[in-house]
Amino acid sequence: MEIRTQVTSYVNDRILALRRQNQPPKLPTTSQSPSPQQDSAAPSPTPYQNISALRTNSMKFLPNFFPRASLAHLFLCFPDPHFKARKHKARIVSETLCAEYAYVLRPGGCVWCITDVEELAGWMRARFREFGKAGGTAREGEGPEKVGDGVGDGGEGLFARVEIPEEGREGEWEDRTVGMLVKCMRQETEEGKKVTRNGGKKFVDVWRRREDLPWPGES
Amino acid sequence: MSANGSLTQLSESISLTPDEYNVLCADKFGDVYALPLLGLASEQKRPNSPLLDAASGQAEPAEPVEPFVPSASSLTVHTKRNRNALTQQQKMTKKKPQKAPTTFEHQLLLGHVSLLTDVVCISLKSPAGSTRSYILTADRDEHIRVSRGIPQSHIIEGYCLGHTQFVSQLCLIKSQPDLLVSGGGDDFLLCWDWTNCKVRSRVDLKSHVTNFIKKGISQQLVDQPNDLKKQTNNDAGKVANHVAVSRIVSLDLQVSMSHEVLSKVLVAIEGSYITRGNVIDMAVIANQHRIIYSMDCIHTPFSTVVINDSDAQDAAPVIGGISFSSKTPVDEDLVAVMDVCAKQSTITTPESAAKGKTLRDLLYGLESLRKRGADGDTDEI
Repeated sequence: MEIRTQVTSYVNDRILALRRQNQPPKLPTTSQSPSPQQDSAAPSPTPYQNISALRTNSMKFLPNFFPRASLAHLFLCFPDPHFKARKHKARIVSETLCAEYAYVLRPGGCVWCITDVEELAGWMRARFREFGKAGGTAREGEGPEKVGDGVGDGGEGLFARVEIPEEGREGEWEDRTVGMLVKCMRQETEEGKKVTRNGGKKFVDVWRRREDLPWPGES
Repeated sequence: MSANGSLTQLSESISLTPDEYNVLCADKFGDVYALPLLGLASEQKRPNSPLLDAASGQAEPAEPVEPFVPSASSLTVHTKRNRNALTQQQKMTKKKPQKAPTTFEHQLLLGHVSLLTDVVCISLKSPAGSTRSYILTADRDEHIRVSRGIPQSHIIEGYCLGHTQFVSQLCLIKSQPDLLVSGGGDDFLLCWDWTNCKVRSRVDLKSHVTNFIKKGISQQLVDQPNDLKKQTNNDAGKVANHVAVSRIVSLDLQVSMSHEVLSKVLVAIEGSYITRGNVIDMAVIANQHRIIYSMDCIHTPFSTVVINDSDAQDAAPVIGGISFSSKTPVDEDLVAVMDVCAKQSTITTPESAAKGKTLRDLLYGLESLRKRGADGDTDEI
């Protein structure tokens, strides 16, 4: 889901190109078919059918697209850092938006974040870590967290941090899905490749959504 | 509220929690804050801090001013806009003093990324027998969000999606607490089974409003000068084209001799006219079966634009009342309006067009919530 029109049409063009370039070979047709069934046998499906890009404002309209607890994975790749303090509320991860991500994700589903801005990584980490903790949540006015501060101050939030492999070691990771997806975010995305070219650092975080708390007074 | 401070943002809507412990304030940035209703104890602990005014957000900084370090570097900016921001930040040598936080206890509960228009709370008995409290919020982007109440207001239970224009009013029915009536910029009201986020019925407003206005205008314009008649006609056409719900209230009436309760829902549309003035807002006095409304007698009937120049204006009342009993239907009661208090209007007729605009924006701000253009979004937030 992308808010910029040009980027959306660019992504859709890339998808169409990938589909065209990767069509499976057609079965040769003969004048005498042994049986009607073989002629109408379906060719193997064209790949890249399960991806598309949508031009929309996901900050406002995510709940319009997805019902409660419907998503297994949510990817936030290289979000706009919005450096100025007054633009912090335009960041794609905020205390209030975490509630929406928790709403569309099913319990056990994961949020995958990657950025090359250390301050933003600390910010996103603080928001997901503190979300849902009893007795108050991370104040918007608090300063940025340094990356590496992974210890909570007691109490469980709604998101649990998932251990991820270091760069270069994803292939050996026990959880093959996590290893593969982290590697994709780091190395297969255009932004990721650009950061590697420039010699910058990438910060990846994965958070798994826990089950909802029961209502107060109920078990 | 006897608070010694003020919120630094304009509050759009307030509501009281069912346990009457907290006041919920919704602001124009889309955040809902909970403030304790009786926060006297925490205020006395603090020193006498000056009233914080939204315009002058600077207070004396408590710590020494630190040098400012931008959090980005030239490696991490990828767009022209961010590069410009980084260049500006690198020129800054000192950190700006932070706005001092508000002086009383407040807690951010939840937020939409859009202007919040209304917030209501309610407690319901769950099937398990326990009490569940909910907070319902409506915004400019056609959402009605159902969240759990304090302390779990970050858990969203569901969204009631069905409006195609901004939602401006939410109204719960006391006698049927699982019913919600909502209205806004749409031509219709929606009635929800809100715990399941399902529409129960839709009430068309446009036809009723058009008929009401036509009838009202034909009765009103009998003795008005011709040019004013023409202006009002044009403007009433505008009111009829766009319906904006400014207030929904509900009143439960006990049907005598039986346990039946009749619920009446009253809807005020921006620019609608009753007897002596355009209705601005309404409130219910439940135990007297009465609804009070405030009205604007400065503009001509049904008009939100044209100023009434007649001399009788100075004695015009600003508050009116409607009394209900379950026997008489609403229409008849409108004829027999009872004045709860008739006050001298303290608003003087604006002399210039600019003042007129200020007044109009103050009284009739709902239409500005409507999104212009086919696509309400730009590429910026």
